[in-house]
Order: sequence, then C-alpha cells, then structure tokens
Amino acid sequence: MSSPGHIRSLKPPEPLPAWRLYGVLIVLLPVWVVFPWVAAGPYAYLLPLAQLCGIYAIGATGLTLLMGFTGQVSLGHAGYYAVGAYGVAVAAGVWHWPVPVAIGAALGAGGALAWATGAAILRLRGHYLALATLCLGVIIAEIINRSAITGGAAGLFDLPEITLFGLARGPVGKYYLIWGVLWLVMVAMVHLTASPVGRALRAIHHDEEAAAAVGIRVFEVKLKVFIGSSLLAGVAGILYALVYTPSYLGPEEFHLMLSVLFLTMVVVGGMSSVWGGVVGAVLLTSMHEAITLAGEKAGLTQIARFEQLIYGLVLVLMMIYCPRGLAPSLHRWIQRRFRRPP
Amino acid sequence: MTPSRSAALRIERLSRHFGGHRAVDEVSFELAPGSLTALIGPNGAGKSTIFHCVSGSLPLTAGEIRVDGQRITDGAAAGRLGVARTFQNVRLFAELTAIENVMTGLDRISFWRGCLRWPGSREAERRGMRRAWFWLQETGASHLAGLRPGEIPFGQQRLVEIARALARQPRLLLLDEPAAGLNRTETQELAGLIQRIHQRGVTVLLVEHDMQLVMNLVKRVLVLDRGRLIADGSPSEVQRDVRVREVYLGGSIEGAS
Repeated sequence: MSSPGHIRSLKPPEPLPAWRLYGVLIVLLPVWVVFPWVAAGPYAYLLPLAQLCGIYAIGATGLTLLMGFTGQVSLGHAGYYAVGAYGVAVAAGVWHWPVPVAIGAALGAGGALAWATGAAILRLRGHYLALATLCLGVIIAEIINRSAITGGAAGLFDLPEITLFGLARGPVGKYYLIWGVLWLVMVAMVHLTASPVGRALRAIHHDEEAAAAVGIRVFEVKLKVFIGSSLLAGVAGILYALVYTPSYLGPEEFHLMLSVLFLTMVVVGGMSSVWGGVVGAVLLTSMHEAITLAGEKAGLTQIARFEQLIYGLVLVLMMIYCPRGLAPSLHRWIQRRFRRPP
Repeated sequence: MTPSRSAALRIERLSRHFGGHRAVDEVSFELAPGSLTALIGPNGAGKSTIFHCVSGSLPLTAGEIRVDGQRITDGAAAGRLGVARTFQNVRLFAELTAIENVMTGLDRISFWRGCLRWPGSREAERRGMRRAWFWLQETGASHLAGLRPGEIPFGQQRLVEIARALARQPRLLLLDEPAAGLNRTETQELAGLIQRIHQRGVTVLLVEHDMQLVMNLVKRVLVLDRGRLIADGSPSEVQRDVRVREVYLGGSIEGAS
C-alpha cells in the first residue's frame, strides 16, 4: 500500500497493438499459401500430410479453447469429430443432399449434441468431467459401430465425391480449403482470447466461484465454449469426410485414441497458448514422417519398427524440458532473444 | 425486527445446514442503505457462510435474503442486484494481470462478438482499461496494473481484489476479513479505503477479526456465535454485552477498548 488512493501516477496501459494480435497470422499466411509449390515433386507426400495436420489442428484448437483457456477436460472430442464426418458423409453421400445443406445439417447435429451433453455434464468438474466426456466418446463410437445408417463396423463404401460447389477437388484445392478454414478459425481464436470473453475463460479456469462473484455467468460461458469447441471438432470431421471421399469412411478413425491424440496435441503444443493446438497437431502428425525420413537418411531402414518407442520417448523428453508446451516455450525464447534491454 | 422496505440488505430467518451441522441458524438482520456494519464472531461462527449465501454462491436451507427488496436466488441475481464481494483468502485470477483482474468486474461478455471483433472493440477495450485503472487508483494499486498476482505482495493483492469488487459499482459490498495478513500500517490504510468506499454511499458489510479496526471504523456491530446472532448494537454496546464477553473470553474485544 505504498501508493495511497489519492495519488495519480503513471498512465493507464493501452490494449495490445494490432501487430501483436495479428503478427503470427500475417507471418504464417504467405507460408501457408506457397506451401503447395514446395510440396511438389519428390516432396509431394507432404501435401496429404499437411491436409491431415490442418484437420487435426482445427480439432485440437477447439480443445485448446475448452481445456487450455476454460479448464474443462474433454476425452470425448473424437465423438464430435465423428458426428461431423458421418453427418456430412451420410447426408451428402448417402441421402444426396446438397453439400452446403449437408454441412449445415452435420454442424447442426454436432451443435445440438454438444448443447444437450454439455448441459448435462458441465456441472461436473475435474476427473468426473473427464470420465463423463470419455464415456460420451465411447457411446458415440459404439453407436457408429452398430448403426445401419453409418454402415456399422464395415463403414460406408462407394461414397460419391463430396465437393463444395465443385471447388477443392484436387490435393492442392483440398489443402487450401483445410488451411483456409484453419486460418479463419485462428483469426476467431485470436479475437476471442484477446476479448473480454478470453478474460472470462481464464477467470473460470482459475477459480469458478470467484469468476461468478465478479458477475461471470460461469455455466453459460462453459456451455458456449463446450459447444464452440465441439463444433470445431465437427468442422474437422467434415473436412476429413470431404478429403477422404470418394472412397471410404470407417469407424476406426474415430476411436478413443483419437480423443487422446487431440488431448496430447494440446498438452504438447501448449494449453495456455492460442497456437498450442496447431503446433501440437503439426508436430505429432508429422512426427511419423519425420522419424521415417530421418531413418532413411541415416540408413536405418528398420526404424519404422521402433517408431512408437521413439514417439513416446520424444513426448516424455518434451514433458520434462517443455512442461508448459512448445508454443509458450517458443514464445518465451523469442521474447528473451529479441527483447530490447530496458 | 421490524421489516423495512428500504433496507439495502434484509436477511430473514436465514439457516444454512451442512448435514447435521447448523452453520447458520435462523439469523435475521437488516442493513440500512449506505451503512457500514461489521459482522464478527469466533472462527466457525458462520460469518463466511452468510457471505456465501448473500452472494448467491451457496443455497439456503431456510429463510430468505433480499437486497433492495428483491430476493437473492443465485449468484446471477446477486450480481444483478449490485452485490460484490471479496474473499477471506484473496482469490485473484492468477493468469491475469492486476488490471485484467479488475476488468473482469467490468466486462460485458458476448461470445460471438468476441469471435468476430467489431470495429469498436479496441476502443471498448481502451475504455475498459481506463475504468479499471480508475478503480486501481482509488485503492492505491495502480502501480501494480501490469503485474500478475504471483508478483504482487499479499497485502496489495487485497487492494486489487477490492478494486475488482468496486469496479462492479456495487450497492452492497461484502468484505471478508480484508485486514487478514496485513501489518499495522497497511491496516490503517485499509481503514481509510473502507471509509472512502462508505462515503461513496456503498453499503458495506465487513467480516473482520481485527477488533481494533472494527471498533474504530463502524457504528454497528453484529455478533455471531455458533450460527446464531447473539448481539446487535454499537461497538460500545457490543463490548459491554455479557454474552459477547463470554464468547471472546475477555480477549480481543477488551483489547480494542
């Protein structure tokens, strides 16, 4: 209390300048745009990899919003991802609805499911909430496995190609569609986390009772975030269905381990960072390719047999040396490296 | 007690039980608008439970609570009616800076507007920061604006928490042991701050163990013991009350006289 109330000192702080908000988005945009030219010729395998990275990044970013910012654990996001994928595949591929209508229906179904389940389980906290979401994911996977409409355990075969207004047909078009959607998602994430909503989410994460005491409608905000996060998982699922038709959509993609993978991406990338989900998704999805490539370069052709071992080892080392995740560690390193001395 | 329509806070036959334990048992009292009142009692007397009930974070077992004549049903209702509070253990949001903590008390949240960022968002943020800065200045904590709670000494964290509560421009402010952990100088400055808040016309209900602070600051003292209201009067009346002296075993109460 060294500064009594009647003393007026210093100036009020200013909101973050625009370059601090949009800097990373602007820097990454040209990289994303030129990537298909880099991923050509001998590196053509990078394009499908980038597509999958983008799809997982959207799902993981939704989970970052829910877990990292709001502190609500979910082990059931593969379920909402499946609702998006099957929703659009069944509506457009089996029932032959127009694709925009099918996408709307898939998002509507995912949103309604998230609203109903969120309203039921979001009063739970911590381990109980994690267990409830895990059960939800298992129930959705079981329904997909046993339902005739989803093709059961055999999946859906002979789906016609699903395209949005005939666009995004080839691998490059699909890449631009996925990373375009991801870019828009990141713009919304940057806005949201820098807005009063972002403050409310962090307040709820830290102390729900104190958040309620300052007038935040805790349950309402948690439910909206849960719906938004599940919708992002649904969007990722829709993009997965768009990319992987015409061929086959089977239930093996949507198992419990996918929810665990989303969770791992968020933790490894950095829960408290807007970019944590993207960093984690790109890293974990491309690690398989990186291990194989490194093995080939080193003449270790049998390295694929040890892939899971190396994968696990890398994760353990990351948790030891970057416990807060890669994105916040990278941010701190850049701050230390480039901050001007006072 | 004669019910008054104009009471800032009216608590009537409030009970809150935890299983077989009667934390608060048929407590009734009223606070006049703009009054500064202390609620005292030994540990476990039910003071914080009453605060939890008034702020809507704890449902009542029986009875009712009205603020400005309107019933408190939950935390949202308490917020709408202008109830703000601080906590016994300072509960600032650890990931937010002091000014961001205060801004949470000011923010109007719109999820979809937050995603889209309207043209006026930056200006609205600037206005919010200035208002939060004003409340930090009022509590003497503006120099801490950019610090996170972990970087702020404990006594000054309390000032930030009070600023956060004041930012809501409350009609009824509940201060839960604001002097706990403060040294004598800090406590004196806190007393000045509470006086200034009172002079703004805010109704203040203060839970405090520091009897010297209580007796010098307020004109009315309510005394709780084992969930029941045992005394209600001016500081001198309460100090002379036999039951209060028994509860305090002639300790702190006399120390203040």
